[in-house]
Amino acid sequence: MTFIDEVAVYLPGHRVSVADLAGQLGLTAMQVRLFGKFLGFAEVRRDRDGTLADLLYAAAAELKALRGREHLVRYVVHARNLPVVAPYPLNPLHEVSERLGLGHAVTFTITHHACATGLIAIDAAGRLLAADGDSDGLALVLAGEKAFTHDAQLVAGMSIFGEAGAACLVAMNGESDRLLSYACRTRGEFDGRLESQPELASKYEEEYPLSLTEVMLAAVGQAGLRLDDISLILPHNVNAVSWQRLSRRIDFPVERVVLDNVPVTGHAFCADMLINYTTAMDRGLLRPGDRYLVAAAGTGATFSAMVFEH
Amino acid sequence: MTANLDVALRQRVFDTVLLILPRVLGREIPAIADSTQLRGDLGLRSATTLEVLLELEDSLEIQINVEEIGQANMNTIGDLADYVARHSTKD
Repeated sequence: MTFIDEVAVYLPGHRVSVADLAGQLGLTAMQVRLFGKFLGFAEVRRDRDGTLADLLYAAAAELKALRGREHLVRYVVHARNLPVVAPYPLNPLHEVSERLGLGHAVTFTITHHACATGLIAIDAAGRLLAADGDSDGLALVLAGEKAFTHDAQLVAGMSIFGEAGAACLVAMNGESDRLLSYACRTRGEFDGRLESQPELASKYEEEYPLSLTEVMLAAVGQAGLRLDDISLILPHNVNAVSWQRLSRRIDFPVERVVLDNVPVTGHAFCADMLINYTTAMDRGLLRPGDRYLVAAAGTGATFSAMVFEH
Repeated sequence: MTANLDVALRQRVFDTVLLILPRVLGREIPAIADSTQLRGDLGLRSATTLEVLLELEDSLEIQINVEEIGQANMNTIGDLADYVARHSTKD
């Protein structure tokens, strides 16, 4: 069994409005309005002086359940969208592990599921712990990235990325959130650069709701549930309108899709699901026994969904 | 917002879309009809369609509620005109 023991999030204090990003990102006034009115973005966070290691450390340092249990951590995993984030030999993840007192742990990054990588990272962490057979063993999954290039800040007409750190302690047992199922489908035919390949982008837009729906329903089915049994959806924050459409498509009340953070954090790479989890907890949206769905899509393209029991 | 089809507004939406599209697409467009496919015939992506809606709001001085818009409302120009005529209010 895979359990989420605790989740912690770090949101940098510096806020930048979409309008203030327009010059830097080359957005027209109409595109700024589009992001605000239809896509649901108002501002994003930027950790101006912090490094990627700072961003991840700030989140992980908030994990109360980690304190005094550092020696039990067997793996530190960074769920990452961007394949390359630092020049060799710099390794921000090693730096974070050392600062957390986890230098003994096996440390690695999972990528290539783009913004859906957070889900496979949790699944892989649980599988590794299970394979080790150490029932006390823990894995630390980290997410969050620096929006340090144009491509790392904007998906034209679709999403704006923000900086935030998230940390998740994965265990083999516990009383918190139990993973019931994980469904994932990679559609390699959508690998490419959507901004410069309009035909590919158009086809992706067409297939996106179909494939995301497919994995969401597959995860629900694998958990032995029906969509009616799902109390909440924790989405990736690609934008608001796509989730409004998708929730209508599957006949799921959009009020139960946690979209609170789209205007506040933007799309925080693979950290969205964890940020939205903390929002759900803060708002008291999850009661013991509730089953909830986590869903994300990553360009390239990977569609993933998980069902947890709280 | 109105659930009824405002026929006069629908025609104004259709006429205005013809003026807006070349600007949004950055090119001239072929003769179009109600049945012209936004994606297939004109190559519009979702974001471009939403930009067209913003331009319509400005041109016609209306507010369009997009929370209920779905792919079925964005297949053809006629579908889009129907949606706008049913889901908008005067500024």
